[in-house]
Amino acid sequence: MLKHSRTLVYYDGPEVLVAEDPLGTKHLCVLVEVDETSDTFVCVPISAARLEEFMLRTIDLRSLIESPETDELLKAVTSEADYSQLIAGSIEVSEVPPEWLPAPGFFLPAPHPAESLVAAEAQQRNRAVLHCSLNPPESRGETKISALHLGQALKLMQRLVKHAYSRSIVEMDSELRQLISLEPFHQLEVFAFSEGSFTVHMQSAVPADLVGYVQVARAFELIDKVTALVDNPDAAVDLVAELGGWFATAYRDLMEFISEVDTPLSYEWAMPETPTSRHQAISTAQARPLYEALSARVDIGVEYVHLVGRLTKVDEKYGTWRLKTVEDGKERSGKLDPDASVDLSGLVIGTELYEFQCEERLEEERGTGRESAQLYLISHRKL
Amino acid sequence: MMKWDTVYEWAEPLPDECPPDDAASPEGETYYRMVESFPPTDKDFVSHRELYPNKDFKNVPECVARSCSVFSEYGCCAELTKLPRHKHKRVVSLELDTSSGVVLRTFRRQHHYSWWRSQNFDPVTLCSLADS
Repeated sequence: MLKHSRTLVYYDGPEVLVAEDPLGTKHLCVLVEVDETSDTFVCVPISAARLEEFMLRTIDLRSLIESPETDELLKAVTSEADYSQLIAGSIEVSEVPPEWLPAPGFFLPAPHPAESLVAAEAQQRNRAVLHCSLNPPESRGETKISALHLGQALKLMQRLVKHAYSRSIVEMDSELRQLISLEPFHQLEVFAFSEGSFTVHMQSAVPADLVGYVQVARAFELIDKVTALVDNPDAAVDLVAELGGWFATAYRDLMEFISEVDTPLSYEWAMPETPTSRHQAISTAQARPLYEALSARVDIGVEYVHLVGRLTKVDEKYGTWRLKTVEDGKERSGKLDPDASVDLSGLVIGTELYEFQCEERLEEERGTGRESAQLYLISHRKL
Repeated sequence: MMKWDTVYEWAEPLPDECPPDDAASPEGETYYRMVESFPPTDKDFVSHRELYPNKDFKNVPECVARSCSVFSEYGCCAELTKLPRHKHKRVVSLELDTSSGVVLRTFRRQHHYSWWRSQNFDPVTLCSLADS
């Protein structure tokens, strides 16, 4: 079984792609047949060095197939254009029909010269890349940074990206939203530092999809939208308030960090297929009034959750409940909000349909620092 | 709110929020596409969704599955005629103006664009053979 890793050539669909087997061995695959139910590829296992030769246009596609490194070829078939599951079986080079071979001299197009290091890294890694630069007081005369400040900055940035991503998909069709919630699209990985500075190079944990898009870009675009307004705190606060919830809290907390630590923050990001990188910066002077204005707004940062479903558990003594939602069939559990004038008496398990209004609060686990969402029931009614 | 200056009726049914906001109306630029033969037919300018209506494109966004690939560089398009499925094809050029629909640059290494075609634009009569 092979799984799509990267599309190299696209024409109405992927034509040449890189796929990986469960052991991580790369395969270069060429589309040879398409019909109503499946796509068929000829795939050749390929080393990183040989793939690099192909990417650098020093070897053509036909040569790679006619002279595989391990004398092994595969015929791989998708089921219903599902590129996460290419079902592969061995085929001898001599068994490959002539019409399945590319004509001699097919090379990848020449790469565009990257306009920035960020764009070059995004292209090379086939992922979204984010450079984040800090300049706290301890770094201004010497190449050093407080481990605490560096750790806090990375944590706050990842948290902001996570909640920006969640916010950016909230209005999508629920089926699509569930589909793209299956992978950790918001997750970032640090892969380098710029020498002599505290610019952290991060990449999206999930690479670009079949059409070269990286889902985390939704989060970056949302963060850009707010950060572009930093010189106009009122407009920025209005936008953050409109977006609300955990995104608002995360953005406020980042502004708090920038102003309290006195570290300007700048970032630059690019996707593999975008021609330019995008750049934003927030100074301490900009962050301070924004943080104060956001803190003054008690209404933002509260995340409300509306559930419709049937109860599977009610514990009046401890004030806990569990409800199976109609929308996705998942069970959600929570507690009573101690400040709300609501109780669980009279609620029926199993048969009655209820609408629950809850406040979702993020609680940080001691030790791991991991956030978990806890639901607090503030009102309910029978439907 | 209109995304583009022209109000389009699309050649194929499109899902909500499709084409994407950052797609733009072309302004007379020349693009290239492969066709089965010259002169081409309508079938040379339809999307994979139109060709395979019952196929479940699990990893391709439906919006993209309903677009056609075109190239801004002849060489990039012509190179694809070396690939197994396209060896017999010809390359045609099309001048796309605002009436043709909208395009979005994707796969920049290939000079590749996704094109959502307007119903009123007839590429069959408006294209020219680009290769000799």
